[in-house]
Amino acid sequence: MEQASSKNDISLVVKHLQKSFLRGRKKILTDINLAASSGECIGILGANGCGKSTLLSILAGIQKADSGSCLINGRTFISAPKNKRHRPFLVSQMDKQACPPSSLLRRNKKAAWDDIAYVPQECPLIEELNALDNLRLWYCSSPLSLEKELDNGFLAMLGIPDFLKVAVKNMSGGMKKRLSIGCALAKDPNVLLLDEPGAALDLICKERIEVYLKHYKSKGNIILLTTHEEREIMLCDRVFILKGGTLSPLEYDGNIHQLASKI
Amino acid sequence: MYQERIPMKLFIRYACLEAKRMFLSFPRILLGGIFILMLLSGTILFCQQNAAGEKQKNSIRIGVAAQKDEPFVDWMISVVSNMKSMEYDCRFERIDKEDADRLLASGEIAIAFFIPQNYVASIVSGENKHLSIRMGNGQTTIVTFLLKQLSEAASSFILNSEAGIYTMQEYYSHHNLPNKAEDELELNLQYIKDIAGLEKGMKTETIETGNTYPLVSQYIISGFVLFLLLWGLAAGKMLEPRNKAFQEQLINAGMPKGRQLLARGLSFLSTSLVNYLVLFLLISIAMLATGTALPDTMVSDIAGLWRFAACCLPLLLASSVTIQAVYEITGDALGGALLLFFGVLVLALCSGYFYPLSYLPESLQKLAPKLPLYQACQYGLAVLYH
Repeated sequence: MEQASSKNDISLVVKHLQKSFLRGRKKILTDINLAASSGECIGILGANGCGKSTLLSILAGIQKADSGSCLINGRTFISAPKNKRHRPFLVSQMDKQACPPSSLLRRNKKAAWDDIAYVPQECPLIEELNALDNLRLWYCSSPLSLEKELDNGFLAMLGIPDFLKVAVKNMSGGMKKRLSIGCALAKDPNVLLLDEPGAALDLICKERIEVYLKHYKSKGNIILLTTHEEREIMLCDRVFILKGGTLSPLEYDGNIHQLASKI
Repeated sequence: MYQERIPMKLFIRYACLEAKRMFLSFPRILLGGIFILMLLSGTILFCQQNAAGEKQKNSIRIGVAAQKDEPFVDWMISVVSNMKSMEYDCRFERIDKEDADRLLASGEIAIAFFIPQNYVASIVSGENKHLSIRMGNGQTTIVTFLLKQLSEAASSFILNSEAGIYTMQEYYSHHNLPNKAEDELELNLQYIKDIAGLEKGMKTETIETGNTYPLVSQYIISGFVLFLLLWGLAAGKMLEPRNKAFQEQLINAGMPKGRQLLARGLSFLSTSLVNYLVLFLLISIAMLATGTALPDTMVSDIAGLWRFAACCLPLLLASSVTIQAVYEITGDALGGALLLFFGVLVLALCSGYFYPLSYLPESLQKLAPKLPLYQACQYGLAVLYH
């Protein structure tokens, strides 16, 4: 029986997640196992093309996993049978036990994706409109008040009020990234998935984002980020290297050369 | 219930923002609209001037030699010159009998009519004096045409005159009035003068050309095809597909791709409608400012123009849906623009708008009436002319 946890006790568990492309010929994720608990920031490192973004997009519900399951607060929201084609007669008894009924899975998915925010590398914004319009889109159905957050909430912390009237197409990369985070946070999520948040940003932008992430973490939320930046690695409580389709824990001692050789 | 309302709120907000985004490209579209308008008016004006120029080029000077006090000559000249069915611009001018041969030889006039003294009176009295025609080389066709028209006019004229004479005679006998033969001719001439004053008795001939619509319709269709091409290209900025990450965020927020498509469609349609209204407003202003209109069509005045705009709304809807579908299917602004451009070009070619249909292969001639562009143009023309 799956039990819902309290809001203060958030957990994210990934079990035996697999993903391949080209009809299984190109295996990206072979066996991903991960567990994150409340107030944790987890960093995922890896070479380009190793599957970091794929992993985050699966957790965000954008891509489908071939097999494996993911649970948030003890509720399964991703459950893929081992057999990719999902033919019922080929699903083993063990898989049946692992998969919750489809109606429950649908409910769990909806609840989970209300709880998980994803900020991809490519900013999901309407380029021609200004920051305020973009924010209004996501905050129209949000439990949070846009005005309040802009006045003294997390949007103010991200420095978004400084460029509210600027069209996205005229924004710098840092502004776009901060705005993307601001939009993603509209649903007041407990888990934040960030795909290389500091890529190509200047130090001031990085600083602003880091300050906010620390604040977000301190509220008991989970952050899962992929990165190549040393500053962001320092922000993480635990760091994993994604290599050969699996995650391996890494003890980072500040030696960047050693880290590079491991990647 | 709450869960259902959230996607609807999101849907409405997304549709509004898409509409706002599309309206931001309004100046560009407005400029495009003005450009198209100028192009359209230019082609129509060019068409009209060209037609006038053709007439001017084909104008024929015709000399009329008659006694200075010969009755009705000037009136007949003016009637024949103003006949709408005149294929050639015939300019009649009075000449002296003695100068006729010289003018014909030098080519200053193409034909000379010699009207004998009291010609009209001779027709009425039955004396029938002969009208002489002298012409230069190579004018036979024109003369035949002119003679046909003149004889039509004259026969109608005489019929009316005779009817008048018999009515007068009946009137005299019925009332036992003196019917003096010497003043009968004068009375008859007076009667003919009355008819002439009313400008009745002339039959206007229309020439069957075989075309359903006049020549100007070809220019209107060309303008419409051009409009479709430019609109299709201008819409690229408005219908540029959203980035994938954005679409996926919307899906996760409870708005599937179908609803996103619907929201974009509604936004595009509303933007197109506003552009359409602005375009017709500009045409109205241009019509008011220049006083130009398309006579014998629905667009003969401002009210007619707006009636035409209302009748063509289905065309706007159909073309908006087509343009959006092309951009959504290609998923790329440049690809969509190219597909639309070549699609419209091919459709216009196969519908016979670049070459006459008779020049195209037989299979295409059969296909043309089934093509959507052909149907749209025929609908537009039917509205315009009927």
